[in-house]
Amino acid sequence: MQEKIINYYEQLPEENTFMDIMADITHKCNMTCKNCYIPNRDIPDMDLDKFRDFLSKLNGRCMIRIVGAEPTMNPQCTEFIESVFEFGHRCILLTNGLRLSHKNYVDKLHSAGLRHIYLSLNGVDNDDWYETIDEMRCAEKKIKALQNIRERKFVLDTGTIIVPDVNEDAPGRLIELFDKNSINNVLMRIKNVGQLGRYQTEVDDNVKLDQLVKLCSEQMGISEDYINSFRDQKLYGMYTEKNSILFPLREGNKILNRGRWVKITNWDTDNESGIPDPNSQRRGRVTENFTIAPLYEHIKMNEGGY
Amino acid sequence: MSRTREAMKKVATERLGIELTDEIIDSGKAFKDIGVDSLDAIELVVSVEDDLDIELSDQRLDTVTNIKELADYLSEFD
Repeated sequence: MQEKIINYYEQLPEENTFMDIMADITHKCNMTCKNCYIPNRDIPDMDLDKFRDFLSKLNGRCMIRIVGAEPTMNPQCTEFIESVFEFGHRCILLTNGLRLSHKNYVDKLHSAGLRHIYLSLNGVDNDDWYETIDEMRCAEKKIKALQNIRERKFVLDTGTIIVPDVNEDAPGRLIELFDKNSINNVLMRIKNVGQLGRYQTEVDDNVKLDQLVKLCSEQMGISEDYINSFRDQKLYGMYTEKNSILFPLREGNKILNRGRWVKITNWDTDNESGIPDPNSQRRGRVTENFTIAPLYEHIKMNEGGY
Repeated sequence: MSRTREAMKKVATERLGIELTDEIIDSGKAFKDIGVDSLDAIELVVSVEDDLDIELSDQRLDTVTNIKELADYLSEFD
């Protein structure tokens, strides 16, 4: 078997060159999803004081992605968020939304200064899909979380992994769900399965990027040509990503997350590095030692561990 | 004093770390020239809406290309 080529390195926070930095504040989770890049639950929670020290040294204004496993399982989750703002960075919380089905918790996040949430919706509103992909019939809680997020007027991203022969109808079903719940401002992130950590689809069986484009085109009422016209354009006006296509559903819409937007991402690992988006200059990850490493390279190097 | 302009300045300082003076706003500079990128722009809009309890029109926002145009649009809610 040919050896994979990984360009791995670490930076001190004061030398940081990444714009998006993932901080895995806990490895605990309240779900057991079949596609999870960090399935190891035995790592202790991130130390808040060390994280604050990291932020105080961090070069540049960054988007800090508070993630986990499930970040709301860390009892200090809101303190982590407050710290991000205290040191002048941006923040987004990536969550499965189970705790956000409680309005009080959503209010707490808002009070911490959070305005941007990424909610995973692999099964959309279909319990059979959730059970097959995420091993939990949790549609009701997800919808409640969605409604709480809308009521508090958070900027909303949703994430849906398309699993072949399971939820290939998800793009259309998302539109129906958002219509039903008056979610008019959203960025829908549609992706295939990434072969990192724990996963349920091998590369050869994965839904490919062109198929994702086709599914979105057919189910969202837009042409493939329209979607493909956004290939290789600068994301957020800042950088290009070979494995992603970002576009508004309404042509001419300019402000991200206003109106409905879609980002299709290829998480296939079918390349010489064996990771999605190798050599990304955009996404970094806080390491156990509070240095920063390129995200996917770090995940791959630590598969089964941190 | 315009309450919407003051709210915009407050959000820019507190959430984006950008000092917006009347002079900068009235200069009509593009967002990127005053250090506001597309992610900042959405944060600015959402936070001002939240603070003032108003709702801006997406269609109108699509015509906004600089900070003065945003201030002018917001002033309709004064």
